[in-house]
Amino acid sequence: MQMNNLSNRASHIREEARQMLQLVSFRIGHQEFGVDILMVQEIIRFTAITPIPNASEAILGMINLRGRILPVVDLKWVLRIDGVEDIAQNRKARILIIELDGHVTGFVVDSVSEVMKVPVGEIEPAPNLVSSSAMSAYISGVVKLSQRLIILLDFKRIVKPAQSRDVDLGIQTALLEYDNSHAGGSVYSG
Amino acid sequence: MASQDFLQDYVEEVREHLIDMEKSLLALEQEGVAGEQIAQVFRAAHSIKGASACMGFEGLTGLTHELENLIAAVQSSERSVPPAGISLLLDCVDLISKAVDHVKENGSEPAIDSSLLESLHEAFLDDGFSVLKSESEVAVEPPVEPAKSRIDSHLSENSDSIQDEHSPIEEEDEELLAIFVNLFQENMSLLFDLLNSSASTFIGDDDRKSLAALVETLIASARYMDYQPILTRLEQWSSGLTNGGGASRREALESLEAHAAVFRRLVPQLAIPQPVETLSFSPSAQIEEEDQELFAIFLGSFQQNLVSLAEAVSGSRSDKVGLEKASELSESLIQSSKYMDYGGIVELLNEWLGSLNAFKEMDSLDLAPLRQKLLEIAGKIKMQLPTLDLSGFYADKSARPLSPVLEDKDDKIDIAFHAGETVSSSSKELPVIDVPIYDKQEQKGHSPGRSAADFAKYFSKERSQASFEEMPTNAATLRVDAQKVDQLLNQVGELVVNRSEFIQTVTFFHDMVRDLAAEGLLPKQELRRLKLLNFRMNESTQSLGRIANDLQASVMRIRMLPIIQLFQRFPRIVRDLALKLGKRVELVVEGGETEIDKRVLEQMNDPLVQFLRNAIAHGIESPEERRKAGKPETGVIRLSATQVGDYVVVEVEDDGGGIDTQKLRALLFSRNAVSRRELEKLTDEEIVYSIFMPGISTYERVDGAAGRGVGLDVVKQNVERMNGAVEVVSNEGQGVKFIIRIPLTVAIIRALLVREADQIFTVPLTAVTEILRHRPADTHSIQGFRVINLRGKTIPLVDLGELLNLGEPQTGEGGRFVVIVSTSFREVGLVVDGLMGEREVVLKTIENTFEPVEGFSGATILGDGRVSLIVDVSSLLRMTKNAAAGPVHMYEDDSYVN
Repeated sequence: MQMNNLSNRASHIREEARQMLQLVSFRIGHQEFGVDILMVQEIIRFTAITPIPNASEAILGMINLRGRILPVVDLKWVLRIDGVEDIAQNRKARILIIELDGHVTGFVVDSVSEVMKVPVGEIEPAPNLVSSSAMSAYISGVVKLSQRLIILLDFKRIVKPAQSRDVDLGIQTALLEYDNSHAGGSVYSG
Repeated sequence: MASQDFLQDYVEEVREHLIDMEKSLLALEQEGVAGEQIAQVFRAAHSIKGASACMGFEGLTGLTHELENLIAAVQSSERSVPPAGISLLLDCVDLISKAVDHVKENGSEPAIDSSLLESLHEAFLDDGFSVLKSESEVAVEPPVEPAKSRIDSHLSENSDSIQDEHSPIEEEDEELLAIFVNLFQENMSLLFDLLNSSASTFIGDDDRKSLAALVETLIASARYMDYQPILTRLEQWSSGLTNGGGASRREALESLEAHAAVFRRLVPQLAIPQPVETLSFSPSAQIEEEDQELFAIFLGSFQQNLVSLAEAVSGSRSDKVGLEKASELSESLIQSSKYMDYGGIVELLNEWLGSLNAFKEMDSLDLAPLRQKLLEIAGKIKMQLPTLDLSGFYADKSARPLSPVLEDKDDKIDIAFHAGETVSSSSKELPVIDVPIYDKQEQKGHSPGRSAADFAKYFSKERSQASFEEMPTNAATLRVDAQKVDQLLNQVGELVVNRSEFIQTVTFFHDMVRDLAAEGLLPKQELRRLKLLNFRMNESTQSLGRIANDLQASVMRIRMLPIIQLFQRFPRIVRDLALKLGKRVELVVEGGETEIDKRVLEQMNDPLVQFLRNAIAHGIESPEERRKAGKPETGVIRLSATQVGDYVVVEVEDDGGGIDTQKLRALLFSRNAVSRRELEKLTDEEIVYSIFMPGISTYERVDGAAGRGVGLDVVKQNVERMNGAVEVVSNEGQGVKFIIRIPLTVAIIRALLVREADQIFTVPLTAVTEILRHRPADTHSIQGFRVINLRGKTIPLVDLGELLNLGEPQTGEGGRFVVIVSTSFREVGLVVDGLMGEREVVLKTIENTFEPVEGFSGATILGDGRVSLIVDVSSLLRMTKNAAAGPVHMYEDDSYVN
C-alpha cells in the first residue's frame, strides 16, 4: 500500500518534471529572453573576437574555445534591438555557446540573469504585438511572470543557414522600407 | 543481430581481403597462369567465407564458397583463366563489396544475385573446366593451414626461448648489453646527481630513500643480466645503505666513486661520470655574475648537459639517435647561456652546433673529428668559465676503449674468446682490463665452449628473435577510430599553442625581473629568489617545448599512411577504362611506401582519378595510332610518389601523344581567351598551362571518361585548396607529365603571418613566391589597376585591406610590403601592412553554419590564443578578379604594357 503510494508519488514527480522547462534567461537591452538549457553547452565571458572580413553584419567573428574555432553571432543585430552600446566595455556581456545538430555557435548577449524552471503549460504563443516585429521569426513563445515577460527564442531558426538568409533578406527589405518611411517622416516633421 | 563492434571489424576485414583479391586478379590477368596469384585469390575468398560464416551471412558465405570452388578448379587444372573469367571474378569482387556496404549500413546482408555465379560457371565450363563439386572440394587444400602451422611453430620456439632465459646471457647480444649499459649509466648519473644536488653534509631521509631505490634498480638490471661481480658489489652497497652506513655525503660519494671505478673496469662500455667536485663559488674574472646562486644553478646544469653531450658523441660510429640527442643538448646549452646573457659562450656553442649540423649532413660514420671539435670548444668555454669542471667530460672520452671492436658484428664470436687481448692491443694508454665481462661465463661454470649445444642455443635464440621481429608487424597493429586520432591531434595542437603562450609568459617574467633589478628597489635577497625561479621556469619551459613538439610529431605520424593504400585502387580503374575505350594501358606504380596524412590521402583520390582518366582518354593513343607512331601498342602510365621535404610529389606520366600546342593556341584564340600578340609571346611550356582554364580542352570528343564532369580546372582548384600545386610538362609525341605537390599533412602547414589593419592573416607558404618592399614609386597604373614590374613580368597589386574591406592601412605607404602569391599561372601582389614572420600553424576549420566564409580556407590559433584566418589564395584571386571588374591574368595585363 505504502509502496504503491510512493511509486505513485514518484511518477507524479516525474510527470511534473517532464512538464517543467528549464530555461537560461538573458538580457539584451531592456528585453529578457530565454532559451532551453539543454541547448546551451556553456556560457563564457566576452573574449577577443577575430572579425571575418566580408562576412554579414550578424557575425561578429570567431573565437577560440579551447582549440575549437567557432563563429560568434551578434544576437542584438539578428533581433534588431538596441543593446548595450560598447559590448567590449560591458563587463556583464556573455557569450552563450549553443549546440545545434553538432554545430556549435556563440551568441553574444548583454548579460545572463538566471536559470529558471517554468511549467510547460505556462508558455504562451507569441502575442500579435510581437509577431509583427523583426524578431518574430525566431520566437517560439513567451512566458509571463509576475513582473516580467520572457521571450523564448528558437535558435534552430536563427542558425539554419538557408532559412535565416531568407529571413534576413525579408527583414532587410522590411527594415529598408521602415527606414525610408521613417526618414520621410522626419523630413515632414522637420 | 550482430553487435556493431563485430560488424565494423567484419566490414574492414572483408574490405582488406577484397583489395588483395582484386590486386591478385589484375596481376593474374597480366601474367596469365600464376600459382601464387591464384592462391592469393583463393586465400582471400576463403577468409571472406570464414568471416561471413562467423557473422551468419549465409548468402555471402554461399557465394564465396562457390567462388572458392571455381578457383580451386582453376588451380588444380593449372590452366590460365579466360579474360572473360577475370572480368566476371572482378564483378564478383564488386558484388561482395556492395554487399558489405549494405551490411555496414543495415547490419544485415542483402539478397545475393545468383545470376553472376551462373555466368561464372558457364564461362569456366565453356573453357573446358569441369567444375564438379565433389572434385573441387577434394582440391580444396586450404593453403592457409601450412602457414598457420608455421606460425604455431614460431610461437612454440618463442616460448622455448623464454624458458632459456635462465641460461647465461651471451655477450653476442650486443643490443641487450647496450640497453643495460645505458640504463646503468643513467642510474649511476642519477646517483651522482643526487649526492651532488645539495651542499648539506648529511643525507636526509628522503634522499636516502631515493638512493636505495636507485641502487635497487641497478641491482635489478644486473640480476637480469646475470652479472655476478656487479651484483655482489651492489648488494653489499645496498645493505650498507639500509643499515645506515655512509650517512655523510662525502662518505657516500666516496663509496659511490669506489663502486663506479669497479663497474667501469667490469663493463668497459660504461661511461659513468666522475663525481663533480663541490662547486667553487668564486665568480670568474672572465664572466662576472654577481648572483652566485643563479650562477651555481647554471653551472650545474651546464656541466651536466656538456657531459651528456660528450656521451652522445662518444660512440665509435655515428648513429642518428645519438646525433639528435647531441643537437638537442646543444640547443639546451645555448638556451641556458642565452638566458644568462653569456654572449661569448653562445657564440662558441653556435660554432659547435654549426659543425655538428655540417657533420650530420655529411653522413660520415667516424665521430672522432666531431669529438675533437667538442674538446676544442669545451676548452674555449672553460677559458671563459674557469669554474667549469670538465673532469667528467674527459673521463668519458677514455671510458670507451672496447666499443669500436664490440660494435663490429662480424667479429663478435671472435671477441667472445679474445676480448682481453683485443682490448689490450687496441687501447694503449689504458690499463689492461683485468676482468673482461665474458669471464662471467666461466664463473657460472660454463666453459667458454663452442660446444654444439651452446651454438644451437645461440642460433635458436637468434631465430626466435627474428620471428619476434616479424610478428609485431601483424600483431601490434591497432585499429583505432580515425576520429579519436583527430581529437588527439586537436588537443596536441592546443598544447602547442598553450606552450607558446607559456613561453611568452616566461619571457615577460624575465623582462620584469630584469626591470626590477635595474630599479634596485627590491632587496637583493628577494631578487635572487626571483631570478632563481625565473631560471628554473626557463629550463622547464624549454623541456616542455621539446616534449610538446615530439608529441605533436608522434601524433602526426600516427595519421600517416603509405600512399599505396590509395594507389592500390587505381589498377582496377585504369583497367576498366582502358577496356572501355579500346586502349591498352599498363599502370606502373612507384613509391607506394611514401607516407602521407590520412586526410590528404582521402582528398587526393578524386584529383588522381581525374588525372588518370585524362591520361587514358586523351593521353594514350589507340593501339593502331601507337603502332603507326612506332611505339609499343601498350601504353604506359607511370604513377609515382616521392617525399621531398615537407611535401609529397605525385607524378602521373603517360607516354601518349602529349598536348597539341598548335591546336591549343587555335582554341585559345577562337575563344578570345588570349589576344594574338600574347599567344605569340607565350612559349609552349607556358601555353600548356591553359588546359587548366575552365572550358578548355583540345579534344574534339567528349566522352564519359574525361572532358566532361570535373574539369582539370576544378581538379587544380581542389589540389590548391589542400595547399598543393600542380605543374604540367608536355612533350609533343612523347606524353604528358602532371606533377602534383602536396603537403605531407593538411593539419599543419608552414605559413607566413601578415598584418593588415589590426588583424593578423595567415598565408600558406606554398602560395607565396616572393616578398618585396612596397615602393609606391615603382607602381604603375594601367587602366585603373596598380601594377608593378617584376623582372619583366607585370603583376597586378591588390590591397589586402581594400579587398577585405578592413579600412585604411595603418602604416604609411612606404612601410608596407608586397607578398607575391601565385597559383601556377596567375600571380598577384598582395599589399600588406606588415610581416609577422613564418610559422608552422595548425589548420582548423571554421565551424560556421551561419554562412559560407569566402576567401578563407580555415583558421588557426596564434600563440596568444587569438584566431587568425588562413587566406585561400585561389578564392582570393577570384575575388580579386571580381573586384577588378574584369579578367586579371597575366596574359591580359601584359598586353596593356608598352
